[in-house]
Amino acid sequence: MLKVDHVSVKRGASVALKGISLSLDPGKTLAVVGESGAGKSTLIAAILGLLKPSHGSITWAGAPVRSCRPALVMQEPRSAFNPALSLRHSVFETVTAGKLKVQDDRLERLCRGLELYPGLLDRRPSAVSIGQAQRVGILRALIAAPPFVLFDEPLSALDAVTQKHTAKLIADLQDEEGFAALIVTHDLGYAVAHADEIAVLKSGRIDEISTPQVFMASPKSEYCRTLRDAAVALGALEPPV
Amino acid sequence: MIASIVDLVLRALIVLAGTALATFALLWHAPGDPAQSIAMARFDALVTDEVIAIVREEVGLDVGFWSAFQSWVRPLLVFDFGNSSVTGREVLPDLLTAISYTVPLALVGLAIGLVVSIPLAFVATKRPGGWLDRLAVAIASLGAAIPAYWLGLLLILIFAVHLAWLPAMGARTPAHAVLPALTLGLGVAASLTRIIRSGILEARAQPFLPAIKRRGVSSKAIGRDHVVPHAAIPVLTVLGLEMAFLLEGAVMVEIIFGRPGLGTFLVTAIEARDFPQVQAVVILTALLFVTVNLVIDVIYRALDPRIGEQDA
Repeated sequence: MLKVDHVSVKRGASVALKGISLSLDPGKTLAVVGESGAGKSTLIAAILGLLKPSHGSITWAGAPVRSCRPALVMQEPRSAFNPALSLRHSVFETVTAGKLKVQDDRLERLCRGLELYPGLLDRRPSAVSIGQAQRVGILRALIAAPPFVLFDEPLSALDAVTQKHTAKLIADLQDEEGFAALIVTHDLGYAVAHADEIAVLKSGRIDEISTPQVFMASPKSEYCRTLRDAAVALGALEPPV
Repeated sequence: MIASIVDLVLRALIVLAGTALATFALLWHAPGDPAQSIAMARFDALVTDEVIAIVREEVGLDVGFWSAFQSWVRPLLVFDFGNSSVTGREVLPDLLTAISYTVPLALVGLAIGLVVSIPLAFVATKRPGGWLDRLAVAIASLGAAIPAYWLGLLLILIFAVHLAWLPAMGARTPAHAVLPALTLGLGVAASLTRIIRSGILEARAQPFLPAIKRRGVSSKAIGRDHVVPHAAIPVLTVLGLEMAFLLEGAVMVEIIFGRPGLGTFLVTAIEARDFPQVQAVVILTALLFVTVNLVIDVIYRALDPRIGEQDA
């Protein structure tokens, strides 16, 4: 399991994360929400070991997170791939280089679920749409059944129907394979519908961690209530009963 | 791929044709009477108008620009560079002798440049911003700021005059080539170090690398598939330009170190307005450039298939 224990991260002179603690069990989904600049991307970078915490520790089953080979779905789909190589190369390089195992029908199933026709993988990133590139990013992350996946705004580049199908595919695979998913998103509707817990980040601190039900019905903090009400007003969330 | 190579070759031919025309036009229109210059180079004294007229007719300067250009360019198509206007000797054998001094010097200069710059750039990028990196950048900047003629004189002063380890002039033994090759090589090393260093740093900063690295792709595979091909493209571009610097530098270095070669050959030919000799050097140099750039373009396409494509 993922354990983030009192982690602070400095970026230059300012402190980007202040004493963050959270945990995530296999098979569970934690959605991290918050406004731009709240520290969401810094949290992902710290979990991946790209930024060193100035205080605290981040572990997966007691070991550094990199030991579990976490998969990452990046926010910017175009920059998620080597532009000179085919998408197929990018999808399979983690499999072949990491000597990971892939079931025979997995590529076909994932492509079907993500609405990607197989020939698309022979193109380079510049020759597909942003939405297609985002779905190939999800394909790359899930192809070799990772134990832990970090999703950075996974659905932001997709249209509403594809968002729905992709979210369902991720949820189905998670049910079958039991990977832990940490999803950074602005989309409160997606977080409420698919996460087991929602962590709200504000100015580098966790404002509140709660289940979607509690977040919708009776958030403790003023900030969470404001977030919820704004999402309801925008139509991203159903009004609380 | 074949279509794009054919396209590159056609472009190369246009460059060569343009070079031939430009060289001939520049020599033709340069101030002063070319026939007089040739006559003076031949007879080494003040010459009469009759002699100049004979020379003008003999070397084909009396038929007008386009006719003279055509009569020079036609034999060139079968690599006949003609005879020197001054000595009457065939240009090609003398040119090949000059090249046999210059090309090895340029190649050794290039080798020194690569041997110095590649390890220096790799050491520098181990810890970007560290003291080794700053030192490497400082050395490279210093090297780029020093002109070849000054570095050459400095090396002569240190290694020939004060230490008396190496000869300063001539080309009789391999030891005579050390200082000229160092003069050329250190200049090349300076610019290559900077470009290899920045190429590696830029390639390592590609945003998709953390995702595949954390997923288990080894540093070796990342280096081979993502860093080296990305870093190699600007390095190749500069290497192509360095070929220009090497030949241009070799000409200057030969004169500083009193070595025979293309430098002396070219300077003597320009002073005498020896059209066939000057044109032969320029055409051969242009041919070399075009070939080097052609090879680099083909390597570009192998490293990054997007280059030269419609959707690139």
